[in-house]
Amino acid sequence: MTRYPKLLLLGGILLLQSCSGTEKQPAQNSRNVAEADTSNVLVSDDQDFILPQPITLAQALKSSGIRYHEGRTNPIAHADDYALKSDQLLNFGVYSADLAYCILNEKQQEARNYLAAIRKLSATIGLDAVYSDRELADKFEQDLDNPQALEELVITIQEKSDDYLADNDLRYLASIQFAGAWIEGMYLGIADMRTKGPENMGSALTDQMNLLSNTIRGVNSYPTRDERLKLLSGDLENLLRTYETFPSVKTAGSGSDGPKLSKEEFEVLSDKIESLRSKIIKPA
Amino acid sequence: MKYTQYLFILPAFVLLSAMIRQDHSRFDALVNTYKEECKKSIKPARYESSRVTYYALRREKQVKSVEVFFFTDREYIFALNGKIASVPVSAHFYDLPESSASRHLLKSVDITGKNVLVSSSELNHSYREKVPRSERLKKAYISYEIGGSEYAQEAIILVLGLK
Repeated sequence: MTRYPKLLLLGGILLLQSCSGTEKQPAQNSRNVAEADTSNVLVSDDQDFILPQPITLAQALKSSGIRYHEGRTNPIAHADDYALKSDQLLNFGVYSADLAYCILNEKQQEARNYLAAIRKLSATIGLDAVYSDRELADKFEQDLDNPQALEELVITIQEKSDDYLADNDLRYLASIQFAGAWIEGMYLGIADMRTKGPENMGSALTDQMNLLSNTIRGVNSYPTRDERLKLLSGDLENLLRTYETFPSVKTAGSGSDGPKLSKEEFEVLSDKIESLRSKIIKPA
Repeated sequence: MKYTQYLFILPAFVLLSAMIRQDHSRFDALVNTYKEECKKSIKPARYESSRVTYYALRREKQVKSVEVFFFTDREYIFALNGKIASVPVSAHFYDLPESSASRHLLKSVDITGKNVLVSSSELNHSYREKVPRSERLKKAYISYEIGGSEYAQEAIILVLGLK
């Protein structure tokens, strides 16, 4: 009789081992292997969400008339200085937004540089399986003079990246990247909106603000958030609170037409986004 | 006698462990197969994003939801795949979240054992009928209603395309 508890213990250990068999093993401090999620396997949240691709955010801004501004993107030289994993993930997103911005504005040479920066960071965050493909670089070079083909190529890369992250239970990495891309997209949009005046910007900015609460959820889903990500989460929550207290936002309520920001509201929002963006692109 | 018992039980656990692992691999392969089917079915729309909603069946019905944003006024195509489901599964599209008392049901589809396509233009049409003078739908909330049954691990696959 006394030996049954031992057998049960042994069985329990083996069963636990078997249940985690489809998950990839964590490698949180590795530079070449992505981390594994052990918490979000096989039962999804009751309320889930889909975030758009960086290129879709850029397309939305472009279709609302946002023009290219020289020198606004994050310099590629910074890519070597991001030593923290959180910085690498965030700025992978920042560079993805910059790449989309350059492609859509037919800045091929800049686009080529941003792809190189993205590939460099992909190796440090465990996405080199997606980005190290030599064919990808060759195809990019071939299509350099064809913005439409470059756009399609970026979408294909994003699809591969999505599949890789989903297959390896790493969706939360995409959430951090998205936060970087979202902040950069807003920052790039604001530059042009400032010159045109908020009354002429339509709903481009407020549409993107709709993403903020899910962006925060995404950042908070990261299982091993460091101080940098905790600060980012706090800053994003502060941005959301500020936005939600704007009279125009309160008046518009939850209707889909969205608020029309006043000039003062636009300035407050822009200042906060610019400050947030300068924090995330600065290496820790 | 004691050691003989261990000799029988240990291989049994190892075998069970291998079977569970194999089951997970088979399940993952099935999810990927149906995801590919969704991707093919949205063409000529280009891939935008995807979400696999995993659930564990229980005796009572359950609801899981996915929030989707429409950033451009281009047409979005949803491919909803319920081929893994062994119980009735339906997808209901709303303009607002469950917490909102004023939300409108825009479309419902049965996806049990099927791959079903829904477009944002259908949703917009329904939305404008129900909410006159509105611009366009900028978000949709999909509620999956999943029937109850004995425990099993299943999934609904959603692939979003953009025309």
